[in-house]
Amino acid sequence: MLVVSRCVLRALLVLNILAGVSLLLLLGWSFLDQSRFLSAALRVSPAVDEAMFLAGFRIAFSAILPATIAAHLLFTRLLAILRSVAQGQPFASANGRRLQVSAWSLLVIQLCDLLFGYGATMADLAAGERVSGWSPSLAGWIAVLLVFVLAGVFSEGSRLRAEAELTI
Amino acid sequence: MPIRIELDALLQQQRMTQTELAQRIGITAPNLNILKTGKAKAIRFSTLSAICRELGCQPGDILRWEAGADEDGDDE
Repeated sequence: MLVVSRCVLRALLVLNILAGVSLLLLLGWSFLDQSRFLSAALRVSPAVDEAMFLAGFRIAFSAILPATIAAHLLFTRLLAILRSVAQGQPFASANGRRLQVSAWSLLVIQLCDLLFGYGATMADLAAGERVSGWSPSLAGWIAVLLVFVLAGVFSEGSRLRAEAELTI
Repeated sequence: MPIRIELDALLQQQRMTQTELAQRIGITAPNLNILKTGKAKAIRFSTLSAICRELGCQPGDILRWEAGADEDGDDE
């Protein structure tokens, strides 16, 4: 299971960078060649209000960079935790800190999701139909809370373990 | 830690080496060294009792509080 997790995380690490760069290029295209971008976008969705559609798209895609960075931090920390498990030293204080970074990263991703949702809803309204497919997710917010709690429990557990190791 | 474990004089009195004491009380020599160098966070009553038994002393003979040492833990 650990080997599978490690492979999945490595794949996600690469996919995250590829997706992040691709989406940022798309955002850049919307600024550099606005008319061609709009005509390409409107082939997919015949927008009613072009200006609102473009604004919604740009707001939604402005969440891509922070979300990509946060996801990168999350995946690299999870990989580091997996490495420590493979080395037989999972209950180290470093893993408590890694879980804390993971929790903050998840929080940033959730906030980016809200920003994306705001922009996507604007684009949906401009297009007169639901083209983004975005919907709010409660599970993500619960995951943020869960990982923050786990990080605290882990930090305390690793502190107790370090103390027990130095009890002679 | 501000609490020091003083063993050298007692070991000398008993003509015992540190390794021998570690063997007699059932802990490893590196762990006894952790105790001696003040890196331990705590000492079990069973370990303290075994040291007192082997060195023929009271806990107060081996534990010493040192003012000015780091209260939180490592003083390195």
